[in-house]
Amino acid sequence: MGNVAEVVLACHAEILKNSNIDVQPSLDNPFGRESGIDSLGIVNFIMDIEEKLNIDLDDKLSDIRKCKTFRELVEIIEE
Amino acid sequence: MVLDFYNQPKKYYEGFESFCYQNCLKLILDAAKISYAPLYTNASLSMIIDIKDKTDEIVFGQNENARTLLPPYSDQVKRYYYDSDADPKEIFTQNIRTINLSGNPIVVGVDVFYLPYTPYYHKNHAIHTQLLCGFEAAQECVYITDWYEPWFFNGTIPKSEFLRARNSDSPYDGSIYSGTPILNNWAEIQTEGLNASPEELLKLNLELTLKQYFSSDASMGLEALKTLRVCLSSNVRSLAAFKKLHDDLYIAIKRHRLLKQYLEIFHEYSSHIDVSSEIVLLNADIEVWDTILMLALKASMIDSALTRNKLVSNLNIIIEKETNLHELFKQLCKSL
Repeated sequence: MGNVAEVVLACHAEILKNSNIDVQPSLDNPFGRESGIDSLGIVNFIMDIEEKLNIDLDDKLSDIRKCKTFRELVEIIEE
Repeated sequence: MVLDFYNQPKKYYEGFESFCYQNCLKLILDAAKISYAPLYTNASLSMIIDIKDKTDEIVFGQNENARTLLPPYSDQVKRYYYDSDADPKEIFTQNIRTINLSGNPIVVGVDVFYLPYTPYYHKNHAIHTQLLCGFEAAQECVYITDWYEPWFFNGTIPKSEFLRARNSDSPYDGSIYSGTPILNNWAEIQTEGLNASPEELLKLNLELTLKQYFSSDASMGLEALKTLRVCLSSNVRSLAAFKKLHDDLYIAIKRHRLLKQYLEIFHEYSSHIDVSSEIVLLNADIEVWDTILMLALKASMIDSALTRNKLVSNLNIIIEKETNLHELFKQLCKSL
C-alpha cells in the first residue's frame, strides 16, 4: 500500500483533466466539486483507485464521502 | 417595470435543492411577510415504489401534492399548463399583466438549457422554475429571480431566450430532470389566511409522513423498501436497471433532506418543542442513503456481486434506522 498517495494523485490528475479544471493535483486540494468530485465523479474516481490498487472500498464509502482533502482519503485507504 | 420583490433580500435553505418550485412558493410567502413561511412547505416523506411482478421493472413515484404547500393550503396555489401549440408571446403578455396587477411575482416553468446564467446553458435540458418579476420593453429583457443553488440569480435575461425556455419540449438528454415539456406552465399564490403556528404546521407534515411513508401499504415508504430489498437480492441484475435505480433514488431521497431542513427551520422558530433527536437520526439515515446511491451508481458500471450485496446490507441498515424514525415521529406527533 506504499504507493497509495501516488495512485490517488494520479487519479486526481485524471479527473481534473476530464473535468477541464485547471488546478495542480495536490493531496491538500479540497475533496469536492471544485476538484471534479461530484456525485458521479466520486464513484468514477473510487473505481479508478480500486482498479489501480486492486482493492475494494465499498466498506469505506461512508468515510470517503466525508473526506475534506485528498490527504484524508489516502489515510482512510491506508487504514 | 420591475416589482419591489426583485430588490428585496432573499433567503435560501440548501435542503430545498431539487425543490425549485417549493422554493419559489416559499420566497413569495416570505415576501408577503407570512409568519413561518418555510413551514407551509409540504416536506413530508413520500416514496411510492411499484415493482412490476412480470418484468421486475421498478417504478418510483411520490404522493399527490408532495411538491407544493401543505394540503390545507395547497388549494391557494393555482398552476396553469397550456397546449403545446399555445402562443408563448401571448402567455408572456398575460403573465406580465398578472404580476403588474397583483404586485406579486409568479412562478414560471422553464428549461435550464436556455438560461444563460446556469452551467447548463445550451448544454443540458432540465425542467426548472423561477420567479417572473418584470419586463423592460425598451431592452427586450425579462427580470428574473432564480434564488437557487448554485447560481442565486437576480437579474435579467433576453426575452427571446426566456420565451424559448418557457416553450421548450425539454427533450430527454440523459440529465435526471430532462424529458418533460415545459408547456409555458406558471403558478400564482393567494397569501391570505396563512396564520398557522409552527407546531400546527409541523404536525401536518408529521401526520402526512406517518400516513404516506410509514403506512402498512406495501408500495409506500418503509414497507416498499422491504420489498425493494427482496427484489434487489434476487431479481435486479442489469447495469441499466441499477442506473435507473440510482436516478430514481437520487430524486426520492431529496425528500429526506427536505424534511431534515424543515425540522432545522422549525427548531429556529419553536423553543418548547425539541426536535434534535429526529434531526440527528434523519441525518444518520441520509448518510447511509448517500452510500446506497454511490453503490447503486457503481453497480450500474460494473457487474459485481460484492457491490450488490453491500447495497442490500446498507438497505437493511436504512430499514432499521427508519423503523426507529417511525417511533420518534409518532411520539413527536403525539406531543404536538
